[in-house]
Amino acid sequence: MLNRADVAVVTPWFPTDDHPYRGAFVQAMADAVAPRCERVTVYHTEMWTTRMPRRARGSAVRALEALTPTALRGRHTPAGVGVVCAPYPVRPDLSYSEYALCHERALRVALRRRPLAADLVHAHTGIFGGWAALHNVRPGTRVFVTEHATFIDKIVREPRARAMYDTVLSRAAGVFAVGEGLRTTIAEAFPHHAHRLGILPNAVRFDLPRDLPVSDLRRWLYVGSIIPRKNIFALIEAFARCRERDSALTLTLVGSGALYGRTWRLAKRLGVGDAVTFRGAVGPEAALALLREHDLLVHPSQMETFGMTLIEAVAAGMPVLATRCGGPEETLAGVEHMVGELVEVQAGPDALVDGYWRLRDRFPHGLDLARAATDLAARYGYAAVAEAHLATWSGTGGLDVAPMAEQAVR
Amino acid sequence: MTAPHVLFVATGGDRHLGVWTESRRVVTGGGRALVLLDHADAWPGKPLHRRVKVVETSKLEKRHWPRRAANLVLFRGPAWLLRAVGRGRLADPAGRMLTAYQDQVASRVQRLVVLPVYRALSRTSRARLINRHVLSKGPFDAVVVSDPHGLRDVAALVRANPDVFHGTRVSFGLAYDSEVGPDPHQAVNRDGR
Repeated sequence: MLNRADVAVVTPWFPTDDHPYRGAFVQAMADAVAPRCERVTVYHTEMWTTRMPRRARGSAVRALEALTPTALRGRHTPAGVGVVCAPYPVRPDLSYSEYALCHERALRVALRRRPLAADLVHAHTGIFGGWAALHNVRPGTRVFVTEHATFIDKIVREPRARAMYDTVLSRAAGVFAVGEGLRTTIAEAFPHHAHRLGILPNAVRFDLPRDLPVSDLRRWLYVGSIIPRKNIFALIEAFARCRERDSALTLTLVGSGALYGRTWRLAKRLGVGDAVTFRGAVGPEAALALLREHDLLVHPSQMETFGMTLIEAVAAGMPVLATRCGGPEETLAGVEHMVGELVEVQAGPDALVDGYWRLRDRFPHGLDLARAATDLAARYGYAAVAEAHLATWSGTGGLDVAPMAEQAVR
Repeated sequence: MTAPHVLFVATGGDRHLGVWTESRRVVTGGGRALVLLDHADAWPGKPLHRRVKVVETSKLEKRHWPRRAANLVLFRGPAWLLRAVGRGRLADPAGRMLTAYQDQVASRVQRLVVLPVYRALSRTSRARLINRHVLSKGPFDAVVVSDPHGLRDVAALVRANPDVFHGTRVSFGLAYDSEVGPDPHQAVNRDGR
């Protein structure tokens, strides 16, 4: 078993003050493995989107290079993980392949054109973190990739991005999806790499129990982006219908996104504006605290590769009402009846409404949150996920990335 | 550091939440925060904390003599002329002519010619303006580069004022408190040495 390694993590997503919850799963992974490593350093290639004209953007890149040697751009998470900020100015309408190249350049600027000097590199998302890492490592450094992305189908439809993704799959020492559904999607798109794809789940904290157990299911909570894929309008409609029968219900929405304003207007139009609280985006610690202040996590998404907040909710002793949208039925397999209700994905609110009243009928005696939490901790707890990563890194599989590294790090 | 004075350079207004959160954290922690923006109305929905001071570069530029000269030639001069000749029965047609001229000609010339030329020629003077109207409000304990436009402005300021920035912490976010050496993987350290 590989122990005390010096690990670099390359990621396009990591919580910041501008996007407090984005990449919380990467922070959880880094925090989980940190106690078992000599050092973990996260390189966050952060795209700073701007509508600057091309020439101005070029001068911003030159300014970034000029400031990089002296600017403060490092910090540590409470778990002792080092974080290096690697910003890069980009247009907001780039293709996946163009974004990948920008992540590569961002990392190169942050490293001041030197290769990454870690024992091994674990990157997040193939097209962004994986591509950037493979082009900025020393010859012989093993690069592992965990895929979380919900947009693999779009990458596949873009020829250049598809070719780049194929390169990442070929060169990485190991490629992992966070769940079987995503692994299958990648395997179908790249069947010649199917045998090389494994699974590495996200890590979840199970050491923060709530003070008092949930006594009823009236304080609903949603945590996630407010975007079309999350089916947020169905949630608001379901909440409004359930509130017609129980006026004590409240709903807190945590997150931000393109549908923020329309969601707020829908809540007002349905007469539940006073019962819905918009908290905006918050950081991982604040989100975990909110889980302990509410009774029910509602997760209406149309598609998820993992569904981390559901596991976090169970870890917080909280029942869940979620759709069978890919990730949840897999991550909650075997304990779904102990933790709440899984309902079918529907554009409308009916399934959520029916699921809620079924859950109310069998709460609390029909659930066994403590047993489910024990079971899930064995799969997704920090210790289990750290162990899985170390076992992966210890493996002898994988390909040398020397040719690409020599070509790229100039 | 007690009661730090922090300058956020967010001239493009591209990363609102980060600046909103960090400037708020500074002032609620007892410090002082100054946010440099191009246009304060870029962020209408979520105003900055009331104790956060804002300086708009667009207003600084408007007061700069080349812009005032262009404004005189394009707007104020023609307006004065048309008002002078547009008396009595000519008042209405002169008013309509002035409105049409300002909408169809002056505003377009301003947008398409004056502003691009001014900005192309006055990068140094922009730094000088910021220097005069912003750095003079210092000294600052920290300067936070908050968006892509901020990268350009801070790099120009540092280049033009190496003495002023000597000892000032320039960072890519308030949370970042450590220097990262030539080999970042070996050199992320807690105390910034």
